[in-house]
Amino acid sequence: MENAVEIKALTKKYKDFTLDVSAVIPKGFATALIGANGAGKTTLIDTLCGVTAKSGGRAVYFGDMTDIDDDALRSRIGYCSAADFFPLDWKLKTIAECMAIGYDNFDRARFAGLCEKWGLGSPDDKKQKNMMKMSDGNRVRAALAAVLARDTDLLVLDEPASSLDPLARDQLCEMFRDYLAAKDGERTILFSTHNIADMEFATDYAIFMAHGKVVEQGFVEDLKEKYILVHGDAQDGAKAKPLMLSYSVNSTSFEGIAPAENAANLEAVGAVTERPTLQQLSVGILRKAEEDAGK
Amino acid sequence: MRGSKLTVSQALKLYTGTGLAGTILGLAAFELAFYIGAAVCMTLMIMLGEGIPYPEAVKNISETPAGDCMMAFAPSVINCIVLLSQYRKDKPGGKLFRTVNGGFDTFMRYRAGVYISMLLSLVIYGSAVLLLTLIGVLGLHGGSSAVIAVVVSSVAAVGVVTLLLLIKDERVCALVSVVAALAVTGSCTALLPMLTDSLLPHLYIGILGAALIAVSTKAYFSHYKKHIWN
Repeated sequence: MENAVEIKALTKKYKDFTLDVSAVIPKGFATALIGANGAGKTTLIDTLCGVTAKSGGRAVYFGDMTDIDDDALRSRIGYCSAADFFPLDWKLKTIAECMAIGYDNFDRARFAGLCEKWGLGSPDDKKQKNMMKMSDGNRVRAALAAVLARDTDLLVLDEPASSLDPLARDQLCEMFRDYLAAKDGERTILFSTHNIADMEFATDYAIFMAHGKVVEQGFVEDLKEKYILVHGDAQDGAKAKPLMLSYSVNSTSFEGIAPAENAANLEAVGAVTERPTLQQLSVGILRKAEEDAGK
Repeated sequence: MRGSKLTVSQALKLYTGTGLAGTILGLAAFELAFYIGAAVCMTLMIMLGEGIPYPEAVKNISETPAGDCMMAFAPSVINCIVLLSQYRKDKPGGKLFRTVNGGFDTFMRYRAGVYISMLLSLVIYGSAVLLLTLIGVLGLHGGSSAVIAVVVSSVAAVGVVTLLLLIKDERVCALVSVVAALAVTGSCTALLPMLTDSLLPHLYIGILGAALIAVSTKAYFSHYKKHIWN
């Protein structure tokens, strides 16, 4: 398997936070960065895209490219930040003009097409709203249209789904599939999200982050084989807990995730095991990371 | 640091949505409108307050350096606003500009475009004010000497404000910058025509201003790259 990006001990140090990540982003797939607020997702994305300078380590892009300040590498990466990617006084026309200046591979006609498709109007309309007057969702759509109008090999999106309604999130997943399918196996997506349930359909590979570090990563299907969802009556919880990675209990029942190899032992103590969803996996893995950090 | 493929005008358009020519004309127009607005208010106040006709009110204004200072304040305030726009990473557009072709080099070209625009708009503004003074629409105490003083002191003020951009606290930086710019341009414009008939002091201030811009810009870029860009 080829990797679009290999991250080797990449660090970014702030006064109160240190990012220290080693991970891979497989080529040809959509990778989700999953973690709690403050886990380091945005810092990692910003560092990978050259928005923030790294403190140490390195990232190797597309097999042999390492200098993120190199325009040849930048032109292959389509990046969009979480909020207010464009100045608020910009209109679609300004976006089109400035993207054409700022990047070599911006296709104005494609941008216009995407704007029309997503109900934003045309960059050539005489009357246009500026970004400040657009809804949060439309601002994200405008930014996505701009970044998708570039011919890139790696799409990096920070929280693209956070301001979108459920229907728009579904369209986003479809858009991911279209982007990947356009150059089968050659294009890659990296995105961070809190809306794991909505984005599960679009996620092939997941990187879980906590406290600036990667705590788990792998293909979603492999992770669903590696871990199991466990639940049962609260009275059986005490026996099941030592076999589980994460565990939560209320007055009637308990739930958590466990390594798949413990399935037989857990069933023997009365627990029910199931294949987890990505959302359930995320909660379990991140809860375990929080518990470990608290020790 | 990489070389940018973009021209100064393209970098300016990328960052502000307006190219070099548009920015120069826009700044000059804003400065002129600012000054004419203030001059009209001042003239009306004198006309209504003292019950005198328009030509006499213009003459009254030209009897003190107050009108000249007003002329200096317009570019000072507008240039301060332009210089204080820094596109920090956490502000809208801040992250976009860090990923465009040329990266920081494009940012430096954009700032160079800002300085070129400010200097050329000052020349246009000064020429327009001088013309309005010569045809008697406006009155200046120091005449053409005051106009040249405004231009050269505004250049010096741009250098001073660029140096003040190194102040970390944004609010303090904005406040100190505006006060300093007004002080530099106001005092030069009021004093230079009174002190001497020669234009040599104007020349010295202009040269000092240009040197200050060169030094402060270098310090600013170094500081910006280390503390704000990254």
